[in-house]
Amino acid sequence: MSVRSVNVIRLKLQEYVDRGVFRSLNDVSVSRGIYAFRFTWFAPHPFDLTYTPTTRRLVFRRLLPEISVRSSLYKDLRAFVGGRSGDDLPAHRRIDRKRVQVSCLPRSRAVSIVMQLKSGNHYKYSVTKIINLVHEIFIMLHSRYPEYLWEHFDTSQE
Amino acid sequence: MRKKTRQRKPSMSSDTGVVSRRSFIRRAAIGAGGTAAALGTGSLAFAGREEASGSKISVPKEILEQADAPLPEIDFPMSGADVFGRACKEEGLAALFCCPGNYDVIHSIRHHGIPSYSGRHEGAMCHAADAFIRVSGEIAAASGTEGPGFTDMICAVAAANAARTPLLVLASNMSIFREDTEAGIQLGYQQPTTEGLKKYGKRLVNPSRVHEYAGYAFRQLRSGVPKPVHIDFPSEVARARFESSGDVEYYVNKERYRTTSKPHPEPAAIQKAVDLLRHADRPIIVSSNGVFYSRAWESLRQLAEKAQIPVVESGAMKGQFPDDHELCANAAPDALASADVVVLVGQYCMPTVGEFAFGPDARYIRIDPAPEDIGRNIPIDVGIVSCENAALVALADSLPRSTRAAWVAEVAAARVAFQNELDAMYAIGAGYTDAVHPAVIAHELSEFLYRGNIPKEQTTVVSGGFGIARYTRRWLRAYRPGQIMNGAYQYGAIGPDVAYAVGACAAVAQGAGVQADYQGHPVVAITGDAGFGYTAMEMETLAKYRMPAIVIVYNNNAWGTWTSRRDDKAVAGMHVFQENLRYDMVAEGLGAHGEYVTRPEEFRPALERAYEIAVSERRPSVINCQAKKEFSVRDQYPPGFLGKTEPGCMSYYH
Repeated sequence: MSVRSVNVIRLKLQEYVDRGVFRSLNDVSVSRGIYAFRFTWFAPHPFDLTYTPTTRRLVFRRLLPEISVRSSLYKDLRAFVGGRSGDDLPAHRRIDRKRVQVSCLPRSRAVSIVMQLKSGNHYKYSVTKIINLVHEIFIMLHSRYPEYLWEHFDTSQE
Repeated sequence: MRKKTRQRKPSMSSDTGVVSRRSFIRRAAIGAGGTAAALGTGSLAFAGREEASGSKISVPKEILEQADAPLPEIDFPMSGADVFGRACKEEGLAALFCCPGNYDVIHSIRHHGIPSYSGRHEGAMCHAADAFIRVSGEIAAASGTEGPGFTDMICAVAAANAARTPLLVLASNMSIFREDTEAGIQLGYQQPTTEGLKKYGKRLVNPSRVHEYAGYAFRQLRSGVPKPVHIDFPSEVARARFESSGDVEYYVNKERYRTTSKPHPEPAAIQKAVDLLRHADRPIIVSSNGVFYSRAWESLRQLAEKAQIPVVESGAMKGQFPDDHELCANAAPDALASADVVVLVGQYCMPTVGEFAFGPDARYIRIDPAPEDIGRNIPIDVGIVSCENAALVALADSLPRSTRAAWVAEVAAARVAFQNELDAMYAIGAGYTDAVHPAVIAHELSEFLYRGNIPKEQTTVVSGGFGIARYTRRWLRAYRPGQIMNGAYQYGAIGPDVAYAVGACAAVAQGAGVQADYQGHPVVAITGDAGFGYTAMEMETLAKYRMPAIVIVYNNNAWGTWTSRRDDKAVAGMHVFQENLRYDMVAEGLGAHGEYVTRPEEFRPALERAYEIAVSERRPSVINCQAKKEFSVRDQYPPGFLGKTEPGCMSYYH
């Protein structure tokens, strides 16, 4: 089961490479039962997505550095991520709570995005949704917190 | 030989050179030789502050004489400058912006009847030419003298290059005889200086080929993806004397050296695009520069309406698709990530992955006349090499009539949600009563322009500034091509805005290109206190030519960069100015009207007064809006410093 799920996840990620959305995707590495995928996307530094078959968790590790849990940014981020499962969103944008649950995980002033897969073979769905979620998080940051992106993602300041 | 026609005596009120109200209104033209503006009533000798000193700010007789001055009939024997000037006339060069220098060329261009404007800084005049082009769609030129006059233009050339503006950059450049010697002053290698900032450039060295190289210039300006063309003239070329046309090589009509034929799309490529669009649930069209320059807005509208595809704009100007159309997604940022197929039309400056809000699963069709750029930055699913208009017509012809009610409703809901956000921001901003918050300026300006007493499509707006633009862009709307000039587009120069107002006013005054139906109306320009400092002297140019610009200055006492450096006391001082500076008084000192607004409720009346003065007196105004830098601090004064979502009304990177 774990090999199959990892392959599905890897193939889905490879689709983004093949379509030119990601610039590259490195080989899968595994450590202590955690599969790690590293790819270059829209930022100068690589993104790390892990999958743990035993817990059925996809995690964008330390996606957003230097965020205090007491900051308005973190509060907005948490609300935004939670809102992605809201019934007010169109179905094609909504993250289906019956299949996956998403949350923010703050650790050592960095925030990871966690997607907990529920029972069923939702691997392809979950990869699609977490990639789209991260994209939307950055669109939100561009709109509301441009200075954060200047500081930590080297976006244009002017 | 030049044949001078009879000169009409200018009508001046006295030997002081102060022009009477009557004579000014009758004779004043916006720009030397420009189409006479539809002027209202007003006085040219400015009342007020200057009277206390006993002197009056007045428009000199030379300006008025120039407007009506007879033009010489130019024929062989001609100078090299005249041959070039004639080519500019034949090509329909719509305006020249310059400072003195490159005399043979600028005088010849003017003698050929091309409206010509002079300002206070070559860089500002080059920005003005860029603006003229971006709001009219017509080609204009900028000129400077050799050496510093030319190098003053560099920032503007770079901005025009980034905006893909078909700008003709002209400069004199000493002589071939003295090449490399540093004899005299101001000799320099110009062409290497504009490397990477132009589509084509040439130092003319062979006098007999001057007309041939005018052809090179206009062939580049009028084809494909436009960018600046830079021509520098040594004196041997500009002052060459040709006894007859036989002395000039390739002295042929423009039909011989360039074609108006446009590339049309391959049927197979159109079919691929049709297949993709027919299976799409939520397609969207991004309309950019190429739609404007190929004048494809009608084809765009037909395609959008037939296939029910929403349209969002990007680019250096806005208005190709009206903001009040039910399919317009300019002010629907939350819908963009839902698009499953994106049609990029004339997106000459491509974003990279992640810069546009479309999601990672969106497929892309790109329509562009330049095959070498298709596939750059964002990989394509279908590439169509074509003139934008031809491709849009082909798609409209090939696609079946469709209904996409759910998708159109989603865009409409996103528009409502965005407007609700704006209303909430305004409510917060209006609550700060000790200074003028940017949301107040943006909201009140929007109410005045689009929901007041003037037709919403009437006023051309130069959308500039830095911090203020993050608010005003959200509120500004365009209802016809050329209505909004996206000032900071791509190059992000903070400061050309007053100069841009000169160019936009000239285009509107002339009724050039797409401004034909809006001739003579006031122009609104938005800038910040930092930006105003760069080109503020062009308020004098606006006043001199009686250009009715209303320049709104967001005066928060700081560079927009202060926000993120404010806690570092070692550097914070590098990001601020003296506080409460009176930019309105600077404007008054230069012949414009000034308003100083310190409370939110004062802004709208000041705007109405400035507009009335623009209409009745043709005088420019500065509305100095006193804000405070702390408005950009989110935790202290929400909503604070804002970012953007692209494409759409907020976009200016791409």
